[in-house]
This record gives sequence, C-alpha cells and structure tokens, in this order.
Amino acid sequence: MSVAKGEFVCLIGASGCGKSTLLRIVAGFEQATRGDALMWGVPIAGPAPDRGMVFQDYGLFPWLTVRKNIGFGPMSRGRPAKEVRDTVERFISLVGLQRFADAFPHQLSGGMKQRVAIARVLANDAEIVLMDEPFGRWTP
Amino acid sequence: MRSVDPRLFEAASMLGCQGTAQFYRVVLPASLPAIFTGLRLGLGFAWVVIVVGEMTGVQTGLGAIIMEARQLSRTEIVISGMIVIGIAGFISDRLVVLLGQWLLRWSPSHV
Repeated sequence: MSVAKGEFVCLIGASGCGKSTLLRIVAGFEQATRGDALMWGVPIAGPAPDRGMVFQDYGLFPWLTVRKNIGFGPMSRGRPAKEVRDTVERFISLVGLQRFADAFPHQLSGGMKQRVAIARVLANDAEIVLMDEPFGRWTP
Repeated sequence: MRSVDPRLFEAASMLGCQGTAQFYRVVLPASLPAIFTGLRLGLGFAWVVIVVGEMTGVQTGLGAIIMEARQLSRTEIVISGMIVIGIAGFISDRLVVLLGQWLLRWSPSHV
C-alpha cells in the first residue's frame, strides 16, 4: 500500500486486526516483522517529528497546560520563542480552546483533550498525521 | 523512570524531543510527585535522627539542651525544647507541602 502526498486514507477493520499496529509501525514505535515501511523511499528508523501521531488515549503531558502541550513540539525542535508563541495561539484558536489555554489536561473533557492532541501534532508541522480513532470523542 | 507512562515517551519522541532532553522534559516532571513524597518522608525521619543524635553524641543543639536540662531537673526547659522541636518540624513539613502543592498543581491527586 502506498499513500501519495495530500492523500487522506482511512483504515477500517474489526478490532484486533492491526489498524493501530500499522499506525505505530509508520510512526516508528514498532518494527515490522515482515515487509518494509518507507517514507519518501527511505526506511522508517524510529519516531521523528515529520510523522505526528494522535493517540487514542491522547498522551498529553499532564504537567503542561494546553498552551505548553501544543508548544512542546516546536519548542523541542528549537524554534524561536516568538514563532512558538504565534504558532500556539494560532492552533489554540483553530481548535477553539481559547478559554482553556492555561488549563491542565486533567481539567479538560475527553473531547477537549483530543482537540489538544490534534492541535499539538498540527502545530509541529508534521508531514504525515497518523490518527488512531481521533474523532471518537470529538464534540465540536 | 520505569514508572513513567511509556505513552509519554512516545509522544515526546514523535514531537521531536529525544535523548537527554527527554530526561529533563518528561522523566523529571513525571517523577516529581514521587520525589515530593520521598522528600516529605525523609524530612520527618531527618528530624528524629538529628534530635536523637544531639541527645547522645553531639554537645550542641536542642537535643543536647534537653538532656542537660533533664540532668539539672529543669523540667520547663525540657518541655519548651520539646515544643520548639514540634513547631520546627511542623513548619518545615508545611513548607515542603506548600512547595509540592504549587509544583504539582497539574496533578489531580495533589490538589
């Protein structure tokens, strides 16, 4: 299976058939037992910021506010502070969490956490966004 | 380090935080609750040890004063020494708790 740039692919299957595992292989968290996983023709060696993942259980950092969770990626990649701030504000308003920008994850509902998890990956300029049941609890 | 949710390591590495940066930005904050619990237990134990030490070996300090007063039958000094130790222990414990509450305000089990 190959995915072209700009393509949107949905994986559908019974539970336990390996949808999440396939995503985890592409993200670089797991090694394929058979076959190869390539990105732009290069084998995937491990997790990297060009492949962002939205986890089913969010995987937010509980000690960081919404704002800092979204800024975690750009900060880790050494972007200048001003650029990080602008990016964070842009994505907070994109997912409509302005009122909760300084809340901690435990103060958010499931749907709000999911929006943070999505914003965090989008803010990191990932080339491919892997989402594991990303809209399961989405409440717009 | 082993008690940290592996999901958080995955999240950090897919966001571009790898190697030693992961220690400061993931392991350290995630271990803070355990560090503070240990700090508080250790502080209580430290108070006991220092007073007992002063009562037996060391010639100075509150414990030594209490022992000296005991030998001179100065009960009021013994009792005030006990009260001072109690207050000092209580205040130092409160300080650790307050600092912990502020640093751990993100943790639902600490507010």
